[in-house]
Amino acid sequence: MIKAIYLWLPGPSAARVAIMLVIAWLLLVVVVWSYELLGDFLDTGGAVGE
Amino acid sequence: MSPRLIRIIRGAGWSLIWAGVYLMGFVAYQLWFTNLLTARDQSALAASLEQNFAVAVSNRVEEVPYEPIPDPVADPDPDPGPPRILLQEAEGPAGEAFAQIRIAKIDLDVTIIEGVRRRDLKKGPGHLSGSPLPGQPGNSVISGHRTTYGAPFGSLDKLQPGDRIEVETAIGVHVYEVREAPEQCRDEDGRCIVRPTDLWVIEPRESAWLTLTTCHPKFSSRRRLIVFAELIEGPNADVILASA
Repeated sequence: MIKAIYLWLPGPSAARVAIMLVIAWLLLVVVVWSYELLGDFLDTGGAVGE
Repeated sequence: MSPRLIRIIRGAGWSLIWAGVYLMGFVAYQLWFTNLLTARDQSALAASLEQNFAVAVSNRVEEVPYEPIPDPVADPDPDPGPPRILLQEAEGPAGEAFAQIRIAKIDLDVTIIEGVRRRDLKKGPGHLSGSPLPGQPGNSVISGHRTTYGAPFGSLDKLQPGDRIEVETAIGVHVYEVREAPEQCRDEDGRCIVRPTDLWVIEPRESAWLTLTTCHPKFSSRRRLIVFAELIEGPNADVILASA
């Protein structure tokens, strides 16, 4: 799948790699943000009335 | 089998694989990575504590006369006696390390910060702003994670009446003793379990109390486990207990 995206992207090889790194970083940010949100169902920190 | 059906099955297979990867990542993040984040934050907080103590002593600690509100029913003609002096410590800025909590029974020794916002509690146990600081008269409330972010209060359910809790602040070490859970929240194991909206557990109290709160059961934020402890030793203990 990663190879398919690489081939689909336009431009020279260095530009394709750079775009893929940016996409990977954005994906990581979204995934970590979703982990933080889901984590609140496991443990909010234990405060009362917050 | 038609090529379209094969494509659908292949797509479903990849979706399930990615969902599995996502969920494994979630488990690893919560059970492992959050602990690393908190350990890093705790190191920085512990390093700043001594300096924060010095700042608090010079800016936020003062000696004040301690006059508890008299109870006209129990004592209609109270004898004021000699003036009692309390070392009063005011709250510091939100997110700042201000105390160290030690509970030998559960091998806990962590730095407490001011505030119980979610981002505060990811660094360590937090003090509920507006409640008295540990060692002061009233009900000092401290909350902490039970399972993730270092799980400082992971073993809070192991505490029994009589166990000691030490909290060191800028004015000294305050020793509390765990008390029995009130009947209104006691479960069959003797623990105090309440809803997250049961505000009576953090209401002001006479004498000096420490109330520890955390999530219950483990890996759920549906309920709160509460531990109540009463001040027995410390710089203000004699003054507060003599007036109780």
